[in-house]
Amino acid sequence: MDLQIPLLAAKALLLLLLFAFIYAVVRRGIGDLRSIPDDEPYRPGAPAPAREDRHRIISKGIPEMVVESSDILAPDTRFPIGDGTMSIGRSSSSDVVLKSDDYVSGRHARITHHADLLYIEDLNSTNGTFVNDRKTIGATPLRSGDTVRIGSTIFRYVE
Amino acid sequence: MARRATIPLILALLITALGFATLIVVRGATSPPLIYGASYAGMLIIVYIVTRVWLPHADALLLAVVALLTGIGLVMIFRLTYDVKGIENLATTQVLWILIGSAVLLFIVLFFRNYERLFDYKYLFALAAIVFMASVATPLGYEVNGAKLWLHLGPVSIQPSEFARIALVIFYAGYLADKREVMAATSRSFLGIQLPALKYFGPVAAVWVASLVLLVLENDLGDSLLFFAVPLLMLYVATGRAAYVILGVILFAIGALAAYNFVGHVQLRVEAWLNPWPHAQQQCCYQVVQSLFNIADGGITGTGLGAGFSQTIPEVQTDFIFASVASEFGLLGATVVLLAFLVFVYRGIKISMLAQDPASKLLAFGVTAMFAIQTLIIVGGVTKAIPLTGVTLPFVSYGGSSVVGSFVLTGLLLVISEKAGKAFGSESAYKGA
Repeated sequence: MDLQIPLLAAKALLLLLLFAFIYAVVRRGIGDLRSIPDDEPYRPGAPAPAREDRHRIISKGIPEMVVESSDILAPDTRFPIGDGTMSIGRSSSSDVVLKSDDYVSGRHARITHHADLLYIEDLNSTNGTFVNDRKTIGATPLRSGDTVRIGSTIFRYVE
Repeated sequence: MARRATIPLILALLITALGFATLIVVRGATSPPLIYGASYAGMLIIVYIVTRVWLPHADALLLAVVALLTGIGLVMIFRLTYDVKGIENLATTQVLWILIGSAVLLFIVLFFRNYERLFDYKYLFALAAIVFMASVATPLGYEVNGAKLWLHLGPVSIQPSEFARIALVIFYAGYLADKREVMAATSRSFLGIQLPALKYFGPVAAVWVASLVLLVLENDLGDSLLFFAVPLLMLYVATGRAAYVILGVILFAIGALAAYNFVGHVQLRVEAWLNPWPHAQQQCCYQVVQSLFNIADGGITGTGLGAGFSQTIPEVQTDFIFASVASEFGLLGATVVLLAFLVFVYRGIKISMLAQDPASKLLAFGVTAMFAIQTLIIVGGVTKAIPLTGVTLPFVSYGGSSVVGSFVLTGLLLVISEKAGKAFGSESAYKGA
């Protein structure tokens, strides 16, 4: 019986310390949480987190390919991707015709959509399709602000 | 990153000291040699200081959680075994394992700051893991409780799967980071489901199937669950495609059904889960029934250290240690333990989110997911929420391989968090708490 009181005291103290530990740990954890800026959701195929210097063009909600620089097209020409698909190439049946650019294949690349994401896919072109200066392999998801280079033309993809 | 965690660390050491003091003063247990306690506390403090100095951006909060979990584990192991003939030195053995684990962690912290080079050897890691796991089938392996999982190496016995799982996560992380873009892309569709090109799955699928086959042959249900789920989750995280999760659920259903019909021991486990009461005295269900009695006996605040009866649970110091924590620390204490695990997992996911390159993200996520699922499997099993499969409660359970493996995992998270914290800190000039 004489053991009951010290045992009870030890038990209470132990539980108190345990919760003090959790309080101390969680307080730090939450302080940490507050100071994190809004994280961009991690998406496969996404480039490194958007840098501040990358200027963004605001559009009206329809995804567009905007010409950044080109030997053959006027800068800021906009190609809306209305139905979520678009073909790019030298042939005149393409949605975006890159005539007289020798580095562009007839059917060069196409944009497809799947599960809320737009993908650009190179169609075995001779010179390749580059997203953010990296050559694409297979279908590559596009994120707003990405650059797409086909031949001499650099597009910026904006949502 | 939470860089300082001095107060939580001191609190954790105080809790351990108070636990031992209660057992020794109030319960009259013979005190284990003080040198063990001193070296345990000393080692954790050294690890903490070295991490703070050497990896100033690393998430030291992980170490405080490790200190609490190992501390509670030591208190419970000592309480459960100090008066049991034959295993009365288990707590001091566990201290030795913690010292070895801490030494390995220190080694990782000191020499693996550039952990990325691990990914260069990813295929070697996969091969080594499979060979290591297969080695228990050789005469070196031996069987405990119907599962042949241990390996005799001189005076110590180790459980290869505890280490193989980390090597496999390194492999999956390195491989998926390389191939995730092509795996996310679709090349054809089947029945309206978009299918990625199968050729990129060869290596992952081969390793995945090999590890599962080995574990199933070895009768290791808990680990097979882990080795099944973690790669699928990593695949989902790497590609962002829910199809893998659906595929995983379907495969799990098929596998579970097959196991239920063809492996006798799975039927017993399911029966012990659905209705253990008629068989409470039989081998199948005795453990889980005693575990439930113990948890119920604990109530809200627990019986107090040493006053419970959790020694009635067979093997309580390994798989069932959570039941004895719930019994003697009560609902409140068990909640604290689970919250500590939650904090660890939260920090792990955070590290994964802050890491800069895909391989680091996947590695941090993979080890964290493994840690979380392992905790879930055993806590769920002990409380009869899911069928019982034997895995250890990380850091808390008695078991050398498990403790050392968990320390390796923590070491990896620390070096990843150093790199992530550094990049993050320089980007936003954020001054951590």
